[in-house]
Amino acid sequence: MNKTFLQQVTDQLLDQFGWNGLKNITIVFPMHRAGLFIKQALEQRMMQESISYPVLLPEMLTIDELADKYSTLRPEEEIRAVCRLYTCYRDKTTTRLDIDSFYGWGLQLLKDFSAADMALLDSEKLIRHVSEAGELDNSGVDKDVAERLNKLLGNNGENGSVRKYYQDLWKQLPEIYTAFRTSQQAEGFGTRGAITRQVVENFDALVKNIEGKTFAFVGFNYLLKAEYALMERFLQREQAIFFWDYDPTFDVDEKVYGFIQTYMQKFPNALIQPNETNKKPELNIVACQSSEAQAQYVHEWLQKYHKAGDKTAVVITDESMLEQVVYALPDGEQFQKANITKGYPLKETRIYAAVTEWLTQPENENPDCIIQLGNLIETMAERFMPQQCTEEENWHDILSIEAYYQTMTRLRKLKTLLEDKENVRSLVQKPKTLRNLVKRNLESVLIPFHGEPITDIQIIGVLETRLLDFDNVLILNAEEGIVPGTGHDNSFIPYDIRRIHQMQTREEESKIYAYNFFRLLRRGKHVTMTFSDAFTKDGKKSMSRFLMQLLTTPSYAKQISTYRLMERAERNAAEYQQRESLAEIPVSLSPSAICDYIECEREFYLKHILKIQEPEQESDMYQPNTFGTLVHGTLEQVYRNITKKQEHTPAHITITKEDIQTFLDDTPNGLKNALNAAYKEAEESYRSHHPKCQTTPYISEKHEPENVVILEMVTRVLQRDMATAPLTIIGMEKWVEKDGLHGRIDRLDIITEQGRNYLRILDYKTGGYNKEKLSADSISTLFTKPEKRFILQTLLYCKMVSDSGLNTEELPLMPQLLFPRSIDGDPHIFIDKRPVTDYADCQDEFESRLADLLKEIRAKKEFAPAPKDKCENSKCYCPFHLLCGRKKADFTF
Amino acid sequence: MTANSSSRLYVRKASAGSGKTYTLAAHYIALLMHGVSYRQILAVTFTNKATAEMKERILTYLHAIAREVEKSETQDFLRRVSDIYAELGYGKLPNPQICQQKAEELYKDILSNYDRMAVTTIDTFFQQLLAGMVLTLDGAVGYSVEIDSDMVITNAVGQLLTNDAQDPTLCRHITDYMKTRMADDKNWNIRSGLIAIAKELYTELLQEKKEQVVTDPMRLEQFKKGLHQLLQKQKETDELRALLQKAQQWDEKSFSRGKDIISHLDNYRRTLDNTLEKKEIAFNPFTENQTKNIRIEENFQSFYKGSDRQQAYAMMNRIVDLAQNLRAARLREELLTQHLSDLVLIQYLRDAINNVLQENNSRLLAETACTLAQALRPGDADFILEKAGIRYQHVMIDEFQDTSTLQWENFRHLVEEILGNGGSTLIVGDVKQSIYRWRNGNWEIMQGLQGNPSIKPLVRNFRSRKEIVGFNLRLFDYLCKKEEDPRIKDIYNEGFTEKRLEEYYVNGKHDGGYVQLHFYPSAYNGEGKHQARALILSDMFRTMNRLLKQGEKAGSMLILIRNHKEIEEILDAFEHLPESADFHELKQTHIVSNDCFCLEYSQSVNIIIQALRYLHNDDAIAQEYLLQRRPDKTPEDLKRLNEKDLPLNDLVEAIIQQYLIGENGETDGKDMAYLCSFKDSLKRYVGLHGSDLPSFLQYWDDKLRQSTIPSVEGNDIRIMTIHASKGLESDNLFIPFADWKMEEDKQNSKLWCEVPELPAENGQSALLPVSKQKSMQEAGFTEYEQEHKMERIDNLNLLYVALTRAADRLYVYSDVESTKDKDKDKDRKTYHVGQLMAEYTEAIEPLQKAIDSKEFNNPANCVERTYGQEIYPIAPSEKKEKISAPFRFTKAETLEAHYHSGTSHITFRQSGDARKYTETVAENSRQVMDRQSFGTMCHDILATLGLFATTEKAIEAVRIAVADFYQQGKIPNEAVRKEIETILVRTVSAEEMRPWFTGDGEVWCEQAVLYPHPKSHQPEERRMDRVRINGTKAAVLDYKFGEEEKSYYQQVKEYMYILRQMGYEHVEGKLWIANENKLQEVNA
Repeated sequence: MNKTFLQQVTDQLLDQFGWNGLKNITIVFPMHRAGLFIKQALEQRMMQESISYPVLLPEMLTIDELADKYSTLRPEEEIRAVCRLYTCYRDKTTTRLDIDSFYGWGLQLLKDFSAADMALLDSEKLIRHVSEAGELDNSGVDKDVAERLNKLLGNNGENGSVRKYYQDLWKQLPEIYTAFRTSQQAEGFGTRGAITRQVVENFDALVKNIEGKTFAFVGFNYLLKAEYALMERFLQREQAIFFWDYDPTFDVDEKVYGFIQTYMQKFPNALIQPNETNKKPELNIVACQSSEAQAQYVHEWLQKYHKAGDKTAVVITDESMLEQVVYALPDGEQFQKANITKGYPLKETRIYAAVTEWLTQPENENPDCIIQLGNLIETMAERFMPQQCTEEENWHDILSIEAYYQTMTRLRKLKTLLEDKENVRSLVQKPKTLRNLVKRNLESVLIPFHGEPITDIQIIGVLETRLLDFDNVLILNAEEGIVPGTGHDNSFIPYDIRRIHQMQTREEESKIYAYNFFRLLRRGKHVTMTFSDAFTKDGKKSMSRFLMQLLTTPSYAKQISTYRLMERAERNAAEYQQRESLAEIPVSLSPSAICDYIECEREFYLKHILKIQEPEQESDMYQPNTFGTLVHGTLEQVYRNITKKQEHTPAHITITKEDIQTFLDDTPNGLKNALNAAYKEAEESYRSHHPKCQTTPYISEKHEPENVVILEMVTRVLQRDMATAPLTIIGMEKWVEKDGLHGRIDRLDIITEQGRNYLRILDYKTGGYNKEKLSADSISTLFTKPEKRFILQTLLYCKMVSDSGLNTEELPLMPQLLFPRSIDGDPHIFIDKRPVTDYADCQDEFESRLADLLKEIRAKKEFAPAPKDKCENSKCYCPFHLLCGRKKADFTF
Repeated sequence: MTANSSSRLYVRKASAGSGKTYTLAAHYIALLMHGVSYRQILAVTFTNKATAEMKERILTYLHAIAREVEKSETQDFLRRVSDIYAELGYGKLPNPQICQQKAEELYKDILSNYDRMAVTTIDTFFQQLLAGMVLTLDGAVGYSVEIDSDMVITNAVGQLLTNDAQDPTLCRHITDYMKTRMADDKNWNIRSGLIAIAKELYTELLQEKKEQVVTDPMRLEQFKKGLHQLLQKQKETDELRALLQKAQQWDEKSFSRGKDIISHLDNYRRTLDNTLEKKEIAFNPFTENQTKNIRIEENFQSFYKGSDRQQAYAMMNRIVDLAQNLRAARLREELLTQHLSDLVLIQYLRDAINNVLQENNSRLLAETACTLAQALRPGDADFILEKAGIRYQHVMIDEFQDTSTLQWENFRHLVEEILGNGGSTLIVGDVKQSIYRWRNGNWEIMQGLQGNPSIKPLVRNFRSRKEIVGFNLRLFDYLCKKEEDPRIKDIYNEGFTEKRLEEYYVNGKHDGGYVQLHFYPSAYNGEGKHQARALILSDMFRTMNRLLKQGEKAGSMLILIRNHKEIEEILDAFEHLPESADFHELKQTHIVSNDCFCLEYSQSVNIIIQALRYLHNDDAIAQEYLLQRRPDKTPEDLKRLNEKDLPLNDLVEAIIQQYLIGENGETDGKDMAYLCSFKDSLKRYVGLHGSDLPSFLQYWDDKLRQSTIPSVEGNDIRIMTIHASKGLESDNLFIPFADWKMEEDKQNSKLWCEVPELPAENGQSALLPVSKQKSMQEAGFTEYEQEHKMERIDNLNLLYVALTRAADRLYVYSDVESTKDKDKDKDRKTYHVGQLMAEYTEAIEPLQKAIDSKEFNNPANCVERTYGQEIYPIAPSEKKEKISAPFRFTKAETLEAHYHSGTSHITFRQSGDARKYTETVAENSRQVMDRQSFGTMCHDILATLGLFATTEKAIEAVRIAVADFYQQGKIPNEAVRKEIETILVRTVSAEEMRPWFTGDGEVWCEQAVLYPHPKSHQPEERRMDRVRINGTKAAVLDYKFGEEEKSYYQQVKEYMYILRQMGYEHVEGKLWIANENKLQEVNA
């Protein structure tokens, strides 16, 4: 078996320094995890050589830790650094930015400052460079570039222009930088760049007591200027050796990451390349439509390629894919040892959702932000405090502990900051500021997963694969924009200046990515790459440039197999199947049940036989039925009040115009009280129907605008009643049940029209007034056209009233419909263009047709849906559309 | 653009099929060949899709030149490059060998810096510019970009209605708004109404003319009053009243049909007051016919019998005039006041949206162009480019006819600068294909370049065969002649001649072709429409089957539809094709679509959504749905899933496992594409908005359910909307429902009109929304007519785009209504495109007969027109040769995708800190400190300490280290911090501890030792708290922060053993019991 890179390095170190020499070696890596592999390699050698004495392991550091070790500065917490920077920025400029608005690009500025230090850049010079064009010419900068920069930063901006604004800020930048650095250093802090730079620039003073030590720099790729300088310093003392993982015979294109060759000239490679034949891996590329399909492909790929004992890596390039991949892993012995080494976005966890939710609740706003933050921490601790870790930990539990820990430390950091620094606390006065600070602090956190690196399957990020070797590699989402990631040039420092001073730009970022990518290929046996090339809402995806390079490099193209993963797109819709045992048709039917039957038999079946109810929709605004309930309720309350009767049916009390007027005038809060009483009743009835529910939809305070509208509607009804008055109320919300029919009549009253008394059967409709709905050509159309349901309903009430003996005075029954939304819509119903003033006029025909219909319903076994075109043309939204497999009507107003 | 700057401006009017992308790519490569760096060329396309296509094509051509220069297609391409090269004034293109070399280098170079290739959409380009100056705009714009403005708007409206509405003023405005909706028969759930208003704010018009939108309630109220007063005070009303008074004295006998006229006048007089009191809209006193007769003097004379003819004529006409004015004024008032309450809310909406954006520190993609336009003052354009680190010398713009006013406003700065510096600009577009006016596209910009000497039309059609080119030329020639709007003739200025036809198609290679039109009768009242559509689909499918039988591939067929709603009808019909030889081959094929298949079509997705819904609020409908699909699962099973309070992603996965995974561990796979796409969307949603079930369900209802799934083209029949088909072609094209109206007043559509009566803050006329309806014309809004004219152009263009997609065969189907009306000219306006085509092919007369017979479902009544021959022998060699992309996956082997879901036994280690300190953290609420994690923390702090010169220095280091831990949030609270600090300070300052922390020499802090276990010989790792080395002497120290235990001594003894094994001669061991402040000697 071929040795891995780290095994090669270990072997060579042992060969050169011996077991006892290890303690004098410091190994410097680009990443922490490599140490585990060196340790593993050493253990193997120990066994092989049967070493019987203890060995002090070499010191193993990342390059950052190396710098930290010798620097007098230490890194500062991000949030503290940003706040510090903000203070400096505010003092030097006339900004109006809040700390929370500043936060995002404060981080950017920090990065810029750190990068400038990493580039060992003289910040004063940075500005002078360009304001005095001459200097640039001398410094050997391209004339074209110099001219460009001069245009950018030279003194020719007009007042008030963007240019001017930028230039002013640009000139202030050195001052801000200096102030920031001074303030940081006074407390012993520094940015990453500043720390490394300090060690480079004061190497002799800081790096002491290293006699006899050797620093082995292992597996680096692109070097920042300060890192380069640091290595150079160690080299000058002749205390450094270098191991590069670079194979010059691996020829995709020297343009991609040739920079390592330059480094190798300066820092010669101590690695003795094993004499390998130029073996190339088996390469597969799989095209897909979606990301999910790529995750799913992991399942089959592992089954095909992974054998127990193999080193296999599933490389996740898009961090949000982690979870999908985990779910798609196959069961089975050889797949059990899968390990995740990848950041998981905190934003996708429950605790994050809980924190943001807590923050947006108005009741959690406290003027004192520390108290607020303290409460938040307490609440979260209570809710998410990890359970005692069980024996069998599943990864969700661990994830939530991790999420909890990350959230808690971040919150605490903020809290200690606010407690420590009076000036920071004064910046965070408003709850909103705190809210945003918390969010900014949490939203980009990645929970670091550290897999046991030694065992079989690794689910791993690209960066995490550095220095590691695998037999089988599956690289997901090898798409442009992901592989390599979209570099961005977000920086306050102009691109050209960054170029001139060799600060890292996105070109380098993609070169580093290329190095890591091709290294995986070079050291693998089977490498499969998947990508999506579908058109999506966000544009067309396309394969990574690396794949294009491979496909058009003749020596590789030959050994690549290409596949396309087909995702089928059949709708597989199914028809609704009526339940086999037909539940009973209710003995008594309501008018609306009968109307529903005429509209659609299936709707009748679902609503009135299976008794499926549409759930109360939570919404910012009341749904129409809630509105209706409250309007009805309020009107009932009003008339109870006017008649001074508290019973449900204030019978036979005559109300005059003046009575109503008096109510409206004398009791300014009368309407409001009535509304409140209606609320109370609605709430009680809701609770009795939904015993499990904690909350009701009837919260008056949250619906002030609706309340006004409800009262407006009630007032309109009252005004119309005044015009009709005097009227004698026989019943309100009157329940009637007779001969297999039942219903609640909104109001029964006696009115006088053109000198004649009528018993009026009144129904309120809170929908919009439309004369069409109140007129029909004939009685028979009522039983075929569902759009005439209002007429049918009121006539049914008439029948019930006349059958149940409520019409004691034997007055003509007059059905009417009142639309509270309309001021003057005619409430009469019309059959064949004549108003129905006496139910008796149409009673015979109506009742005989009704009898036929009821007979039909009772005999029904199969309840068919309304024909499709009819159903689609119907203006009403049908809650059951999904069950029929029909499309939800676009509900426009 | 000024004339002198146009020297290197190239404008190409590229008709459909004329190889627009080919030309752009050739232009691009010509520049490269001249030595221009690809970093200096900006190519702007209209969509992301076009961007991808363009990039791929450029690479493909470069690859072809580099490696397949000998192929004839490559030679053709090089010839085109050579022409452009010369046109650009670069002289003669270098010889093929040099081109080959250059292309090879460029290919590699571009690939290794692929994202530096500035081929981009205009939005992305602006976005890049803006990103570079976020700070410079002083926080006015957020840091990250929010693409989904709908989401922001929904959130903002939600906030407005719940939290903000508690503000009494706002509450009043909302109530007013609701009341106006009460009067109309509209739903009072104003949420969607507000969302609609808010969306309008982001149309370009309103962004650009933001200052012309008056939102101040006081001013609007005044305006409303003023409008009415204006109406009442009119001198004219007095005059009208007087005239009507006078007219009362007219004798019926004075008129030949006197009763009519007199009663009309009476009627009018009676309603006049109502009108003035604003109760109703005034009617004209006379019918249209009467008015006509009154207007024409001779006609009037012929029916007026009275003697004072002159006078009466004048008076009647005056009455008509005044009445019309009054009606116009009244209509105007009515229309203008309809949406005033919307306006008041606009300011609140803007604030609410800005709040949401500010909270997320983001800015809207939709505002990019506008923000940039505001920032781009004179002299800033080059600055902004410089800031972004880019310097373009050449720019190319594709689909120029779809560029919006604001976009061009921003872009022209760049173009002018480039031209001024001697660079070149290529503009390519075709006003005939402008169909994106609704997305702010303004073809007038392109049309405005008319007459520019740099214009060159590209007319040769490389796509369609002769019959199709000819049919389209003739059809549009005919249509244009019939149109009134002179602009249409300007746009379609081709006209038909035989000579022109010869010029337009590729002679010899593209002969033949076939066009078939089918018209189906349906009546004006919609009768027969359903039958017609059913017939259309069965005819279309029959034709497809016939073609398949003849050997055409399914992948060569494309169905174009006007809007998404038509897709379900087509899919339903396709899925229910009867068993018949007529459809045998067709039934083996599939229909795929890139922009038509919505997520809600899928059963699997619906199951997931319904399960979520059930879990959310016990939705009984959802429960029934689930029961229908999986009668074997109970609601309790489902409830159990959520006991753990899972994050959304995991909950969905659990639902999939319970409801969709079969016994083989997979789903049935039929709607795999939907399921995958749904999960991608879910992931994106959770990534952006977190794991919140109710808001996800709201998002599903509002948006996600209608979002379409991506698909990849295989050998399947494609279906797409005309809008999405731009730039595409197909051998066999089907347009089943060519029946979109040329002009239409859709319900709820609004036009923003200039209202001089109300000046805006900046002195210009205010902009007010007016419901788009016919009466706008009478009310004097010229915007109405303009809009209708534009609609005609839009719809004609849509027809042009649709018809020109066809390469070999074109099939168009339409139902056609009765056109019996007498007033033909007027009626023509209401024609839909199918009727226009029927008119052109003279199919209307025979159709009329069929309509009269009312036999709508009789296929014999359909009228067919054909051109050319359907079966034209097309030899494969005649098929257009194309340069193929080297990295296309067209020939890849196919694998079937499967969906699995399992409970994996994955492991990972916790980050060191969380494991160590979670217990500590947890204690926070219990206010007790667990000894173990307390100890761990103390250990960790001590491990950071090396050696110090003095004890004071060591103490200081302890304090700093503790403070750092505290600041890192690792220590739960101040009390614990103090405790730790105390104990550690005591540790380093104790007299007997001094030698461990001060002085010179070597110290190991938790350094790892590999230790071969004496029995197993397995290497094990040991970390000793603190070891001091002095030559051959070694001393080890272990700290303990709990009660003293025996085992501690054992541990230290082992350490001492290890040290001796390592070769140290003198080894001592110590144990520090911190609680008791004592150092214990350990003896070996």
